[in-house]
Amino acid sequence: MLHSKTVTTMKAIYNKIIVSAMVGAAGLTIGGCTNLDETIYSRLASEKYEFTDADLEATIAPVYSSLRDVYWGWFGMADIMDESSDVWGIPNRIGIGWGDLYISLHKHEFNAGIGHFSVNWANNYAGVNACNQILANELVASSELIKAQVRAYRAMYYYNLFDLFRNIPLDTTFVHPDGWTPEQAAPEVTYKWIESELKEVADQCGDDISLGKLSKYAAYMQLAKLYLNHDAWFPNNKDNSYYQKCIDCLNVIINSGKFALATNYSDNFLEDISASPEIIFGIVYENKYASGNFMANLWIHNAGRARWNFSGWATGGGVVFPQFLDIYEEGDTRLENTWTGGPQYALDGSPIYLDGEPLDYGRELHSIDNPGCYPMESWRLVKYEIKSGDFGSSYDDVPYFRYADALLMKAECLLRLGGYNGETEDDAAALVTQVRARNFKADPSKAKVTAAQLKGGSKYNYGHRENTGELGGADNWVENYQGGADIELGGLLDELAREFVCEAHRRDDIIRFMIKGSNMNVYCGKSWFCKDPEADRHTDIFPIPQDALDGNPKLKQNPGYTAAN
Amino acid sequence: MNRNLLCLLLMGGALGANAAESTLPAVAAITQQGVKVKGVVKDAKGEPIIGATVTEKGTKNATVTDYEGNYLLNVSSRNAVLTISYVGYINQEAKAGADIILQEDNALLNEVVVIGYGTQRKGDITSAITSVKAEDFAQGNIHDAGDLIKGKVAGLTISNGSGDPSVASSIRLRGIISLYGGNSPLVLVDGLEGSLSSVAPENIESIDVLKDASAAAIYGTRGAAGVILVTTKAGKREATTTANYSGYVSLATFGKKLDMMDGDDIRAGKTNYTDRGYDTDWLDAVSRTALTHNHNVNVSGGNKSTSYNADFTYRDQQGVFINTYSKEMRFNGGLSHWMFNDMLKLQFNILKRWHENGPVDAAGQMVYRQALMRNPTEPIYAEDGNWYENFGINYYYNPVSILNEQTGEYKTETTRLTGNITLEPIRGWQTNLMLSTERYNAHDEGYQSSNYYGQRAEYRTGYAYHSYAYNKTNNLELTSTYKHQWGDHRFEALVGYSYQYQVDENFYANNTNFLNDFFQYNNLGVGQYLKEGKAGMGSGKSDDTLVGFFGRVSYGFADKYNVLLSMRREGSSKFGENHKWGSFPSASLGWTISNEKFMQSTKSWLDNLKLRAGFGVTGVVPASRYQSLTTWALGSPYYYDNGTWKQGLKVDQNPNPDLKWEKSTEYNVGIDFAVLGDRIWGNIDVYRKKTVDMLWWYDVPVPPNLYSQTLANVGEMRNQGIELAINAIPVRTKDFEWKTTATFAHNATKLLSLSNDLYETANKHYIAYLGEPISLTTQIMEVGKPLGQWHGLKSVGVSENGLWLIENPTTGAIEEFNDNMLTDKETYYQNLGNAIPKINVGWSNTFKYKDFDLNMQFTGQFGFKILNEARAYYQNNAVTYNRLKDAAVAPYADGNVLKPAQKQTFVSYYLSNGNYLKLSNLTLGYNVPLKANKYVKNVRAYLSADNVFTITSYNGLDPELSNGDPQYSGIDSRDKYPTIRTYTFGLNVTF
Repeated sequence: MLHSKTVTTMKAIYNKIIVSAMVGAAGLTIGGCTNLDETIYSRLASEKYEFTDADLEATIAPVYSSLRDVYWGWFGMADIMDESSDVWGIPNRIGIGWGDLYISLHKHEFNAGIGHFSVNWANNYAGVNACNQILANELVASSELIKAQVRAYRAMYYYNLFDLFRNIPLDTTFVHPDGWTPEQAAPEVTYKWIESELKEVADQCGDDISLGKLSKYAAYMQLAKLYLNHDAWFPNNKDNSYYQKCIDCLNVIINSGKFALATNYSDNFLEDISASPEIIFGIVYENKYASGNFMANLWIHNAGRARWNFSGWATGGGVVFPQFLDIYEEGDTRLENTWTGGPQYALDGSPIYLDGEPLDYGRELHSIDNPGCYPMESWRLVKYEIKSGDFGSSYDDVPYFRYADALLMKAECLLRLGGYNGETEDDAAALVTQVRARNFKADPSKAKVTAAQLKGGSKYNYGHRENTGELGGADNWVENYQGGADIELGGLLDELAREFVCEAHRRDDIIRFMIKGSNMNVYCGKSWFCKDPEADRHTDIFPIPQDALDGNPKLKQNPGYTAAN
Repeated sequence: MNRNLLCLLLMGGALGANAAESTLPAVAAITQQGVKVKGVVKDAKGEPIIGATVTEKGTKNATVTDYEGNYLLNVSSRNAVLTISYVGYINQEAKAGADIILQEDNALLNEVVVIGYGTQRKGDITSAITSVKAEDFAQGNIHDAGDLIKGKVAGLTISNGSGDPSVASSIRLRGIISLYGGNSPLVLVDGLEGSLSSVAPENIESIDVLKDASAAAIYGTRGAAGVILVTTKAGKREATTTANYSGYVSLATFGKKLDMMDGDDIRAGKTNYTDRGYDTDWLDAVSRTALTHNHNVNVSGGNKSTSYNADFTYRDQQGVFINTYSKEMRFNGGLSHWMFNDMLKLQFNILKRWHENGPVDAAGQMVYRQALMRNPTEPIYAEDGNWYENFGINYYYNPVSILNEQTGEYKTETTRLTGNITLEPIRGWQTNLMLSTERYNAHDEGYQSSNYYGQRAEYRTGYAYHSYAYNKTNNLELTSTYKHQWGDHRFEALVGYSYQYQVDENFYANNTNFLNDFFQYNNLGVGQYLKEGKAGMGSGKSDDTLVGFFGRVSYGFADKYNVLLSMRREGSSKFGENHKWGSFPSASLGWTISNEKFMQSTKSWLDNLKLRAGFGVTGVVPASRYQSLTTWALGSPYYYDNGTWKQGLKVDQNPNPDLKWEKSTEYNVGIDFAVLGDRIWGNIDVYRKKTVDMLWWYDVPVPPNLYSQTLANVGEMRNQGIELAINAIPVRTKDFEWKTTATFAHNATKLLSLSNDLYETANKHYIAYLGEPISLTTQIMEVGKPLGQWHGLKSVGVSENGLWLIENPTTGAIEEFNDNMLTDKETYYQNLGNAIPKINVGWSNTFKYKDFDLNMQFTGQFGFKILNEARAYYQNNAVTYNRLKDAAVAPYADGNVLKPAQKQTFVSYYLSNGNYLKLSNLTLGYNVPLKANKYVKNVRAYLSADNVFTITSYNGLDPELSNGDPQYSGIDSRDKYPTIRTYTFGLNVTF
């Protein structure tokens, strides 16, 4: 609507003053209020905060802490190194769940979408990145010792990546040009790099053996493992000299006199393993700062927790294959140190009931997926110490490299070489006997093994074996046995199974051990539970995870796999 | 005069001033011949009309009325006839010298519509804006503003897919524009950012929805999902004081229940459960008929210079689950005062809200899930009087104990103070400074006793917690508007500046293992966990700033041609260093064809026909703060060094200095029409909206990156659709009237891209994950395809082994289910329909007969499939837990029942057609006829029912789902608080 024409002069002047004042005020306000800088309060941001020297020191943490994630992160090394193997797996647990991704692992039906692959890729590369970052920082990488240890850690992360995925980007610098993305290195190149790094830094890593620290001996152990597996990783380029190099490295450890076998097998799996003389390298877990080990949660039935009164969640997913349990020898105390079966009793000795039935872990299993396994089926893992309250096994340290492993690795090389440097196959048998001794205290003679036994076949009755019937109904066994007699060094392979079950060990071992007269290894060629023999060995390595492919179009999928997504 | 002109020039608004002045001398012109006549022109309400043209009929002799509506004209004779015309009013002829009352030409077109930083006459609107006034609001058990306009605005989907008394309506306008940002429209309450729950529904005067970007662009980075403007009731000047009470009482029950196995089924061996000898209806044991009462008192009035209003609401709503409730108190008070001959207006407002609910989250804490899953032959109490528990079974807890073994309160308090100074030195030019601050405090306190399942199962005595959250929002807004109208010209200009600062703080602490249950949450320090280093504590603080400059020009000619241009320049502290500021322009045109000369012949039946076309750019601000920075996590990466644990620092976010808003560009073409004497009117809008720079979390390689994902602006999405709203009054007699409104909206969302030169990712992503133990994705998001695409195994039957028969889409073969199918998606997965409704409809009807009125509100959605999650989990025979009765029935015609070997999984069988039409509200009202008295002016009583019935093919409980995360569309969660049906009796009394 129109405004009035008749405005007095006075009024107009008055208006003008007000307008000027308002425009002026607005101008001032606007000038002060276009500032869009961000203020940080409870988070640190590099762009907004200058790190002190102490802060920079703290950036070394992920060099070490990433290894905890690598080993015990969800789907981590503890899972991926065993769940595709012949000792244990996770089935469809009828009435409980689980099973989803683990069934494909068991059956070796790998694809890029399985969570285990992306987790292990990401966690190991996070470790690599942390190391690259520290090595680029002169303030933190201030001493030769720290530099050497960080480089050894990096080599260890790369070792894991190489072992799992083989065709991996090898990046050793921290600062890159904008837009740079890594490309996969040839396996030979990565292998050589890991070897030369470890060789270069091993002696500088120091003699100090304490948990969480990567000593000279840990570096040599990692190098020995690199050599031990060479022929398995490069089947077209086999070279016995790697076993010799392996022994040379192991001798540095053995001859140092710094290590000895623990009196009891279980000493290596306590909540705190720092007292065990057997630990060459261990990852520390602790109840306030670093929890992780969920073996008890994975294995123990919810009702079965009452035996220890541990309070964490427990779903009892894992199953140990009866064919594997069969290879334990009579009198071997590792069976009871590792597994529990039969009726379960609470701390006070009273029987534990599950929905009115006594809780009783059976040895037999139905199937991985059809129908799956019933809640009470399978013996349970008690290898890692389970403590009451919120401990369970959550704070148990990880024995990453054990002296027993060094001894058995040396035995394996001696057997593969038929003797080396004056040591014979009988010396190999003596090493194995030495490791076994603590497990046959009641009858020490049973500990003794011969080279012939070790070089003989495996006692593992390989073959497809499942019961597709339903609980309460008729059994329907589907069986197709292969046996294990045709496995090279089968006796030793069985020993490794009993000694290192659930120590992220088995996948490497059965990839390395071959079926006689073939180019097929146990991992791909043999069958167990619901896993059938494969036509080729492309599953020796896992597919490059899908999110890594998504994030870097330069990456190529491993042979034999198609991108699932 | 000249000084005024100077002022106008300052505001850039001088355009019309001179022209306006030039017409004024006509008033004073008096010739020597003829007769001088004078009179007043007023509108129907008695307000003077300023600027009406008064012409002597058949001549060019004319004048315009002055600011008091007076005209003075020299006419040829006393018998001369005058023609009086004014924009928006019916031309009228009158005897010279008469006082004249002009009737509004078209009441519909003269409605005032709130457009953001101002209002506009509906006839001048050039954008897609829908305005709903209080008289058209729904009635009944209205729990927030969303319920008031549900189904009444084409293109605006409002759903409340939960029966939880503390859950607000979820709203979505014109599809999905962002995958991680906000898809909910900006809600402004009296011009300030708020929510649909900010004020009591009774306190709302009107709700205006800015649907297209040409209208919303003035709100820049907050406007891309549309803008909802809530205007509360304000006092009026020169109005007698009125007081109003409105109150109601409601009873609510679950709308529908799942048909689970009962005690007899357990005894018949249809589940794995053992008969425990009791018969317990667990859902009954945890639920009740819930009572709600709601009271609102409102007082408003005003004298010549002051107006005031006060509105108080109390609401006490019980949840259908025992021990769940929501209590609200809301107050809105305003005072306006005009000074210096109306040149200065002072306005004060206070808005206050208290909210309280109990400690139980029935959905999140699995009360509902446990009630469904639990063995119906188990008792509630054990023989020792404690809750009967059976911890041997995984994830299996007594739901009655969950409800009863917790105490505590969640309380929030919101206070908003607003002050306005409006200066109008000359009529039509207003400058307004608004200062506002809002404080929000939330306090969550609670205790889970030793008998709570979590403590019993994990051997703890008690768990107590407190958590606080605080938010402060400061707003400053300075606007200056100039309005001018002369002859056929209408001009309006606006410039403004707005500043918004928000800061959030939070603190929490918890402790466990108390000596006994006495202290509950009142003595947090004495729990044992604190001493053991295991108690929890934390705090945080963050802030952001949003600054905008904006301007708008609107021009209209002869009520035929209207144009509106706006521009906002806006910046946010959340944006990266390289993109702090963005520009958000808009332009729109309106052509009122019906006012053209060539349309004269249609005047008899066509009241209004207007063509609108608009374009605008809007944005979405990233949801979180500091996302462009390299941030470091402190705490989690501890490391062990020489026997001690040291704190570590680790990067937890990659930097992205290019981070900016998601940009949405929209074109809208619409038609407004009214025919047959305003008996039928409506509008049609067609739009196309494209979002670019859409945010996506990219997987990036580590190294070189420090973290495995980066948030970057890359993707593109397109929404296009059509909206139709038709209002009609098919019957209008003295005693009976039927008024009806139908809305129809169709939208199609398509993902155009997720890559650019810098960030590349796969063209397919598997999303919409079902949790354990199914652990599968259910949808595929694919570039070039619509969102919400169900993707999984297509079941076609059940084998004799009791396993799903799956169609292999590669070969066409039918195969028995096996696990490899779940991960070999390339071979076995196929598209199974879409989760997002293609069509949304609303249909409201009002019947009035004498003193009775009957309202019916229907809503419906069509063209989509729902994943019935409850069936996926409970219609299965592998589970230990209780099952749906349907688990014992063959899903397909082959007659085979699923066997325990068939684990829970996702197959197409669990997808159900979601089409539905729901009578969401039915209200019968009666206006009690009163004899004139000095106490009570009006009494109205009503009976109302909500969620009355649903016609649907959906095989679950309720096909109306909340508009949640766009990456989880269409999943009818098995744990959701089931929707409720309510019956209400209400009373409104005006004094």
